[in-house]
Amino acid sequence: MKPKTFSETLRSPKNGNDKEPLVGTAPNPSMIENLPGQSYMGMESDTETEIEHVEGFKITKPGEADKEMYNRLNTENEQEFSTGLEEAGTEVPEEEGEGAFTRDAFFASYPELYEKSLSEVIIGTDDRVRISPTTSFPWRAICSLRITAQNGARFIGTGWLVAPRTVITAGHCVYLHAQGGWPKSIEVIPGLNDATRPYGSYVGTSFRSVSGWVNDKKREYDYGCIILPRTARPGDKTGVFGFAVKDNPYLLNAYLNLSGYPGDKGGNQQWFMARKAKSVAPRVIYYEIDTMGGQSGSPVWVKVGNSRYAVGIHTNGLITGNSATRIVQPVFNNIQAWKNLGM
Amino acid sequence: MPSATTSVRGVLYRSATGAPVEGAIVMIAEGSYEHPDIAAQTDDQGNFSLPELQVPGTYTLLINYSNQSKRLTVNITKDSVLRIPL
Repeated sequence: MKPKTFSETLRSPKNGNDKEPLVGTAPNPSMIENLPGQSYMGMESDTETEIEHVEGFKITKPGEADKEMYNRLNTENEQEFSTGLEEAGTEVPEEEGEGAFTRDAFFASYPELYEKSLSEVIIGTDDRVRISPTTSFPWRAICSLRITAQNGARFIGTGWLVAPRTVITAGHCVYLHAQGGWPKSIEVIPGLNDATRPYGSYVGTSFRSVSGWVNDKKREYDYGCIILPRTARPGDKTGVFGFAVKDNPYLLNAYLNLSGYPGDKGGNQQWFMARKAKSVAPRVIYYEIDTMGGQSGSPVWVKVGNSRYAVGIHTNGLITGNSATRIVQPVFNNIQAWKNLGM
Repeated sequence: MPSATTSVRGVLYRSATGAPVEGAIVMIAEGSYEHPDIAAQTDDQGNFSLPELQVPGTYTLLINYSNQSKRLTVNITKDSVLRIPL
């Protein structure tokens, strides 16, 4: 948010993002999701030192921040994986009775079916658009998360499918430092639309994140995933997101799409918005896309032709710019490995 | 400047009866500092825990419950416990 009123000032770098400067605007290869009613145009140290061994204290060695951390391995097959800069997603055919047209085209014809509202609690214009129904791609591959922390505390978040059983989300959705670490469970509900659960719901208890988040709580390593049980394969029905590593000029000129389940709308409805990035840092993307609590873990993606590639994982809110953990090569490698676990 | 991060606990209750409010969604709408965009949900005792926040700081909470919403700004310190009447 809030759907926040944003300033034009670049954010001060933090959490390691001062290693390289923020980069503020650049040629435009991507397309915005075709939604009516929105206009986005214009818009190791050299000294030999040791660390005292203290129970519970860990320091991540250089290069290990993206090292995988997990709570259990009992639902997966570990597999070898290859790396690359782009991983294609898949769209499965529309279910019978849903129609052959795409959602984008459908709503171009029937814009009145979009519910666009202003919340009484929002200052300024709320540019989010409700997605309903949620039964076409990519919306159906976006999942509401109901998180039960280890200490029993409950949270809501968002995730997105990259494989039949792999749901990518924020690291703070799968490892909550102040709530006992790995959650007891997370219920995953693809395409939730009010009381309708068109693809059912699934309970995950196997989680992944990385050392930079689990051990060091660093914002730029805030990403993770849920591996669903072998019998739960929602991605077979919904299709899955691709994901990619993109450079600064590309990201600064691309329209970024973001859709998730904000708490101010009750947490049962999917809301979408798109806009160009405000700035990029080595491992974070900043934007003025309106978000609210509950949207942590939402996909931030670019649409190129009919392909959709996630380039970030929404994690944080701030009045001067919301932000996503950027998919860079090490993040890409982990997502691809986690994708393979959920095949 | 923030000196620490903390996960603030709180409880929601009906001002008229003192009964706990279950199932409400509590989130940060605005704040002094960057915050995780995760939302908390109250349990059957009205208890909730906010995500870890940088403190001390001023944050605006948005509470969504029973098709209503409430917005309030609070100063949060390391030892804050929020008791919020609805």
